[in-house]
Amino acid sequence: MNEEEIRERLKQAADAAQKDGTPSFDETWVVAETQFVQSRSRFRRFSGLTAAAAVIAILAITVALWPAQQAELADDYFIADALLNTTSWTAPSDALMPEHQFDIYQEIPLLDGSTNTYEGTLL
Amino acid sequence: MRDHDALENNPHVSKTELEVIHSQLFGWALSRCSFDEANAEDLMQQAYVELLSGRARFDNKSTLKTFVFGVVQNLARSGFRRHNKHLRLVDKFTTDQNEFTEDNHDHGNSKTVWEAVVTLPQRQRDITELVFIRDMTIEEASAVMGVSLGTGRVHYDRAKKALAEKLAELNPEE
Repeated sequence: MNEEEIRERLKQAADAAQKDGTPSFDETWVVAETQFVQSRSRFRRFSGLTAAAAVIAILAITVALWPAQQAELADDYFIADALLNTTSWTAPSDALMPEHQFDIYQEIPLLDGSTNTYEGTLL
Repeated sequence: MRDHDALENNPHVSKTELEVIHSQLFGWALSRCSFDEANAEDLMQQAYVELLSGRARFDNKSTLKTFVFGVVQNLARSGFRRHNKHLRLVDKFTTDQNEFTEDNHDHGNSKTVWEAVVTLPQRQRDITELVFIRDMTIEEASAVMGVSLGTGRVHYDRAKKALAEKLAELNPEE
């Protein structure tokens, strides 16, 4: 049995299997277009709702956090202001510095140390 | 170049070209759905929705027929897989579901021919249908099936030999 014979017999068999015929292209196309339009509008509606929900959530979070942040800033300001207005500042004095000072360039302090030598080496 | 009735989201696909291959595509969809016509119609509609939406985008890398057959094949593999399993189970346990009638000689003969096709392994059956019934080249059929050309050729050769033997057994006088 050659290829052409096989082809012919298979086509006959396939035609018999498709016995109720093919549904009209136009009908199938119209249904497909309707499904496409519906799915697109569903998608747009869903996207719109999602975007609106996101905006509302962001606004809600911002509004909820705003007074707390403001109060914290105000508190910081008042504390700093009160400190500046009520605290006096003076330059450090040398009252606590040691009374005796020497000029290391003029007065060489006497160091406790031996000047005795032993065989040329300081003891 | 954009045809006058090209799809908005698929500029290389025209409605007229789809109409030309509609009948063959329905035959392919039928065989993907175990010859359940309602499911085949759903599958066709889904395929057209994929083309309309541009989710399945044709870029002229193959023929439109190959591309659209591939879309139907992929949809059948994914969305209809579970349903097909159910249909196969129903077929297995239903005796009177056959589409063919015994009292019609021509249909009886077609039935035996089709039974010979059905006994082939799935890939051989697919390539047989695409090449012999849907008039595709082996290369196009391989693309639809998602296999390499070499693999397609192997399936085709095996299917042709097996079919020739089975058909010769069915009609030993020829």
